[in-house]
Formats: sequence, structure tokens, C-alpha cells
Amino acid sequence: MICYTGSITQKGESDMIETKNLTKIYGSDENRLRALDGVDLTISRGEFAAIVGPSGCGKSTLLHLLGGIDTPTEGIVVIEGVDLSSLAPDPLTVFRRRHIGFVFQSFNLLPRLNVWENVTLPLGLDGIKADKYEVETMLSTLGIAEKRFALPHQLSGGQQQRVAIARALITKPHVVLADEPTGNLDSKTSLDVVLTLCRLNEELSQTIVMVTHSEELAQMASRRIRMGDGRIVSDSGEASK
Amino acid sequence: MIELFKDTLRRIKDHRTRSVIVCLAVILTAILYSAVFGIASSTLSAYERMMQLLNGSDYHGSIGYAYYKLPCEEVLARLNRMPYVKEADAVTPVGTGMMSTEENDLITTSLRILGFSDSRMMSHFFLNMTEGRFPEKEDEVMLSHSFFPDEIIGSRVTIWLMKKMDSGAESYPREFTVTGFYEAEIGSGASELAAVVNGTSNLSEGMMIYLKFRNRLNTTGKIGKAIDSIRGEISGDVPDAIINTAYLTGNLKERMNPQTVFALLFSVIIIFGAASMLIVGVYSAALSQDIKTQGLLWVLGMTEKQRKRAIWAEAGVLLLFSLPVGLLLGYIIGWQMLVPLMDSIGTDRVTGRFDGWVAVFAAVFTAAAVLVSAVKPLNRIRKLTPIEAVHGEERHENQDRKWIRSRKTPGVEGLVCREIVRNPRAHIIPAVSVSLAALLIALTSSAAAVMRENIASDMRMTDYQLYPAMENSSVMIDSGAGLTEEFCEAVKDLDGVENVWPVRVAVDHIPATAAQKALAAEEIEYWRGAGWDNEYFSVMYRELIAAANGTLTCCVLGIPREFFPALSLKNDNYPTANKIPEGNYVIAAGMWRELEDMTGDYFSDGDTLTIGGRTFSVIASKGWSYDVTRRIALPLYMYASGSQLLILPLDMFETLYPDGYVNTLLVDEPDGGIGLLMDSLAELCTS
Repeated sequence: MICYTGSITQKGESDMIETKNLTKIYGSDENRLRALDGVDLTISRGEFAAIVGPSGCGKSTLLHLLGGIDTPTEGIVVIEGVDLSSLAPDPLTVFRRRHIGFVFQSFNLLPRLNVWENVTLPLGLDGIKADKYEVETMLSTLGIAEKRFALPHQLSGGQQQRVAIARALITKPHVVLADEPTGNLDSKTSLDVVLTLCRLNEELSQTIVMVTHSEELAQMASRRIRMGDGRIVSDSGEASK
Repeated sequence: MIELFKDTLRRIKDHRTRSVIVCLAVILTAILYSAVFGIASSTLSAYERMMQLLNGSDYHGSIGYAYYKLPCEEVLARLNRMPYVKEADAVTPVGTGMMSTEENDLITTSLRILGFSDSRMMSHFFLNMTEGRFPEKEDEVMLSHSFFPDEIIGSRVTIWLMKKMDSGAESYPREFTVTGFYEAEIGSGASELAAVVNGTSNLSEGMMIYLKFRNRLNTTGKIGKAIDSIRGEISGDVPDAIINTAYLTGNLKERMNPQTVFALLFSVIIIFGAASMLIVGVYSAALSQDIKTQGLLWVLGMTEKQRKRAIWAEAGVLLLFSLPVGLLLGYIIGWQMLVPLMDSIGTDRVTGRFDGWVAVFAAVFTAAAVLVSAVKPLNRIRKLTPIEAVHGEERHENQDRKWIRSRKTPGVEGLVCREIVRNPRAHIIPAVSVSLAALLIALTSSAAAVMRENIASDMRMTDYQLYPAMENSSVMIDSGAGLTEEFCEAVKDLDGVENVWPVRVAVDHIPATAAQKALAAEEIEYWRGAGWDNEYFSVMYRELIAAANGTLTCCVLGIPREFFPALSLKNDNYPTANKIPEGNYVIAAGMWRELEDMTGDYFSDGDTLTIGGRTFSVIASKGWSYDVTRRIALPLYMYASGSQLLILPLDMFETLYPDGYVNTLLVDEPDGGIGLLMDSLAELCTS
């Protein structure tokens, strides 16, 4: 059993995600690229935040840092009171497994596992046997129950993304990070997927952070954070405050 | 655990090509290890067996002749109680005995007779019972048919035994009933043993205790402790500890050739490296394809420990499938094919036995190579962040900065070269694999050549030691007149005989130096004080007196130069014995073992000696004694006086001693079949 030994900051209970002076620099010398430039951000529990902005503005980088799958050059990321930079690799992995769900643009399903197995994989990694009823419910909710034994290549793009969402949610994470979840989907399917995320956000009160190019889809989120040149240029959440 | 096994099976099935290659690597590695360990084990085992035969027993060691205050049984019981002693047995020997039979009053000489404390000792001395039973009473005896071809069970024989008296020792006749016959394993020292009697109380020349330990480690220390435990019961000097040099591990430092150890370790490391590189290569190639999946699993929460476990499980299951196949093939290829190979280079007479540890070592080293190398590629992932892994991107941070600003237009060949030059680390594994494979092939062929040469060389050295054609040397000795030219030619024409080496003999009297005279006088005093100035030692005693008076009586042998390598070239204690210089030289040797030291004192390396007005350099005074004694000197003992042997190259001998006669024939019969040869020789002698 891996235990978290990271420092827990004393914050308000409603703060799910917090970043301070978050900076990410790629390369060095003349190839130096400041992808994120001192981002301070707080996302509350149960919020559905959409991060929008042009290509290369740092929105995906921000999401990766929030999920602990990339390391910041400067600054800290605190999720549920745990400073991710204070965790060793394996405890960080376990933390991610239990508290953060990921949805990728390219679905990233394991091609040799069927739908059921792909969905229950994070549980298996945690040594937990999946509850059949729960999995069935999840698949039904996402409309893919009939495809439970299909392999990824036998599914449409939308169906694959639903499987990816189901996989992200199966561990009941408090935070779901979605990186361009509609990037490979047509507009109708994209709408379906985002509606699904909205519904889950409402029903399960999960905090969702979604990166998207689409202004239209971003409007469906409860909060929109606009980025440019590695900085937050506008934040509807801050404005409403 | 079951889930892990199922997942592993699925992964193996999903990556069939990788799995098959890893299985092949395991099989090849197991074969290689089996072959290397098999060769090593076989060589050591053959060498050990050969040395056991030469040393006359398979006991780990013995405690030299000693007189005990306690009865034999009590001494043995005390030793048998020691925790590391597996077996303690006693032998009472008679150096040179005499024996006559009912039908033949002729006294047969130069016989070795032993009293055994237990019938189990027969096998330890390589004696196989062919007829009858082991003597159970004190007046019973077992004989060797080689010495007594005409005797039958129930015959009465008279053996002259030695009795230690206050004033020395004297011999007395004693009658025994023959209860059985034995034959000695070919080549063993026991071939010189004429008779075995039951018990040790019959014979009174002191008792020698043979010890077999539970293992062969620290033999010297164990024998020392054994001596300590009985020290209080020994009268006179504390006996020597005698180690059976056949057991290499008993005294590794002295016996193990560092070059052999180095070569063996080198082979093991090379195989380990080659096998590991192959497996690392397979897993690395697979990882490049798998890196995205691995990254994804990382993001989804698979820890490094879990990843390692999964890969280990996969490698473990593949091992489980392929290792038995590899070991079986290793046994067949590495061992079954090795035996005929070794036979073909002349070691069929002493073949190593298959050792189960070979399989165990091969399995352990193969498993280690697979498990260690399977996980190695994971380090590549550790250097990535999860997001890089998910995107399947490996950074090339080590790329040389000078290439960054390159403006060359890459062609097809250029692309390949630049890929290698700019990212050399990625090509280390294939490059090292190729190098190791080439090295392994070169090593194998060189090792085979060296082994062939060594074995051939060893066989040249030991051929006579193991298979003295002169086993029943009295057959070959003509006491006075020597062997005729016709006889020598007839022996040469016998079936299977390749070479016949005539040993010419002459007796010479050389003026003793002052030092030699003084030494002889000192020796006389010593032996007289010890009570040995009786008839039994008369030859030697007479010699000493002659030497003290100013004349060394020497038995001079003439041996063809080309025969010297077959005598005894390897003597670690006397390295100069291994060098035969060209020119005028004489080899001085002790006539028999007890006199080796004295001969060594008479003639030292580098001395000059004048024989017949010609000056010779003395070499190898002690190093030659034992083998010369065994093969040539002992038969001469009865005919040629002199406690010293001087051995000259034949050409010199013939110049100095034109009247020297052929006394001994050494017959080179390389294809085995000693028994047939002996029959032919016996027939020839009779005719």
C-alpha cells in the first residue's frame, strides 16, 4: 500500500484545485519556450471549468500539470489539499489513480481489452474487484451497455470516448481532467460527449476541467477560463466573484 | 496471484513475436550455460577421477602411519563420532612383502599387502570383488588374479609379514586361506596391491587412517582436528596429514589454475552478457512499440512497482515454459554431445560424470539473465514524464549540440548514419549484442582448441601413469642378461602397440663429494638409531656405507629423449622438472619414495656431475622420483643396487655405457585394451 506523504495545505474545503505561480518552460537557450507563465488558479469542488484558447497557449500543458502527469518548472499544484510536487513518483501515481480521472482527445483505450475491461482497468490497478452493478450502471448511463464486450476498434469515435469517460469515472475521482475530449469527434457526437460530462457534473458533483478549442462547447461549462501566451487572460469564475 | 497469471498469459498471447523470441533466448541461454558448466564439470570430474585413481583412493585424506596406544576399533570409533567425518577406516600396510604358495615355493617379491579394517574399503580403493568373499577371519586373505593367476578359493598361501621388534623389524611367515579374488580398476594405484587381509592387528607396521568427510571443504583443517582428537593416543611422532589432491575444492588455492577459473568466469560473464543483451534488445524493441501503452497505464495509475511486477511475471512465465526445454536440450547438446567429443580427443578412459548441479547452475544463471534484463528497459520509461509516454515521444536530450544547427540535406544513407551518430545510445544494445555474439563464437572455438590441446597434453603426461603397460613389471624385467633385440621387436609388433621405449640400464660408481660422504654418514647414524640397520634395508644400508666410504653407487638409465615428456613433466613443487634442456644433463631421482629426499640431498638442481669423464648438469632431482619409481625404478630395485637413479638421454648413455642392456620396456598402447596387451606379452614371454 502506497501512502501519500505530500504536504497538505490548509485551504478552504471548497477548493478542489489550486495552482500558484505555475510555470512550465520547455527547451533551453534559444529554443526556450515558456508554455505556462505564472498561472494562479483556483477551481472549487463541483465546478465544470472549460479552458479555451488558441493552439500553443498552454491550456493542455496546464491540464497535464494539474493532473500530475507533467512537472512544473516553477510553482505548485494542490489537489484536494495535497501538493503534487511533494509526492514521490509512485505515491503520485497512486494519488492520480484514486483522485483524478483522465479523458484524452485520442481516447487512449487499450486495443486488446474489451469495453468492460478498459473501463475497469483503473480498479484492477488498485487491486479492487469491479462491482458488476456499478459498471453496468455506468455503461448504461453512458449508453454503451450493449457494447460491453466489444473491442475498441469495433466502436465509433463517440462510443470510444464514452468508454474513456467511463474509465475516468469508475474510480469515482473527485477531479476529471478532459483534454480536448471532442477533438476527434464530429459536432453532434461532440455535443453528446460534453452533455454527458455536464450531466455527470450535476449528478455526481464531480469537478471537471475540460480543455477545448470550441467556444460553443465551452459555453456549456459553468466556468470558462481563457488563456493566451501561457497566461490566463480572462476567467468567468473570477469575473462572477 | 491468479489474476496476475491470467493477465500475464494474455500479454504473452498479445505479444506473440516478442514471447517467442524471449523463449528462444531462454532456450539458447540455458543450452549455452549447460554446455559451459557441463564442460567445466566434466573436465573437473574427469580430472578428479583421474587424480583419485592416481592417488589410489577416493578418501578425502589420511593420517600417516602411526602406532596407537588404543586398539584400532576404538580409534576409528572416536573419529567416526566427529560431526564432519562420514567414514573413518584403517589400513595397515606392508611395504614390500613376500609370499609363497602351496604349489610354488618360489618367493614372489615386491608385493604390496594391506590389512583393511572394513570390507567397504574395497570400493574406496577401486577394488572390485570378482570372486568369493572378503576375508572374515584373521587367517583369511583376498588375492589379485594379476599376481596369482593360478590360485583358487580355498588355497593356502604363505605371506611373509613384517613384525616390529625393539631392535628393528623382522619378517616371519604366516599362512592364510584364500577367500576371494579382486581386480583393481585400471589405472588405479591399487593395481599394485597383491593381497588384502582382514583387520589391522595382523600387520604391525603402523596404522594409516583414511577419512571420508561429509563434504570436501577445508579438508586440511578437518584432518588437523581429527589428528588433534587422537593426538594423545599416538606413540612417537605425530603423523602427517595427507590430503587427497584429487579434490580440487579441498585445497582450491593450490590446485585451481587461475587461468582456468578466469576463463570459466569470463565465459559465464560473456554468456550472461550476450543473453541479457538479446533479451534487453527484445524488450527494448517491444517497449518502443509499447511505450504509449505503458505511458497510458502510468497515467491511469500503474506504479513502477506494478510495471516491474508485470514484466517480471511475463518473463517468469516465459521462463517456466522455455527453461525446461532449454535444460533438456542443454543436457542433450551440452552433455551427450560433449562425451563423444571428449572421447574423440582421447579422454574416454576417464570420463566425467554428469552432475545435477550443472542443471541447477544453468537454470539459476539463465533465470537471472532473463529477469534482470527483462526489467532493464523500464529505465527508459522512468526517464520520461507520463505525458511524454502517452504521446509516445522519447526525448533525445543527449543529442550532441553541434547537430542542432546542421543545414545538410539528408540522403537515405545519410539518414541512417546520422541516426546512429546523433543518437548513439539507442544503438548501444545492438552493437554490444553483435560484439558479444562474435566474442562468444571466438571464445568457444578458442576454448575448444585450448581444451583439445590441454587434454591431449595431459594425456601424454598421464598415459603411462594411468595405464602403465608395465603393470606386472616382473614380466618385463630380465634380471641379468637384459631383454633381447628380438624380444623388443616382437613387442613392437604386437597388436595395438604404437611405440616401445627401451630403458637401458647400467650400474656405475661415482666418487662421492665430501658433502655427500658426510650426508651418508649422518644417514647411517639416523637409521641405525631408528633400529633399521637390518637385512630388510640392506640394499640401502649397503649403499649408505659405500657412500660414506667415498663411492656413490648409481643405477644409470638411458632413455630416449622423446620419451621424457611421457614420464612426468608437470610438477608444481619442482618447476624445473618441467624443463628439459638440450645438451649434457642428467636427471637424478630417488629409487623409491623413502629415499627421494636423500637423493635430493645428494644431487641438487644446477649441480655438475662427472660421469665417464664427461660433465653433466643435474636437473630435477626430486621432481622425477615418484613417477620414475613407479614405472622404472621399482622393478630395478632387485637387480640394480644403488639408491640413486641417474637418467641420461639415450644417445649419451650409449656413448658412456656401450655394454648397458635393455632392462625395461615401456609400451605405448594408446587405444586401450591393456588386458589384451598383457595377454600377448605373457604369451610372448612364455614362448
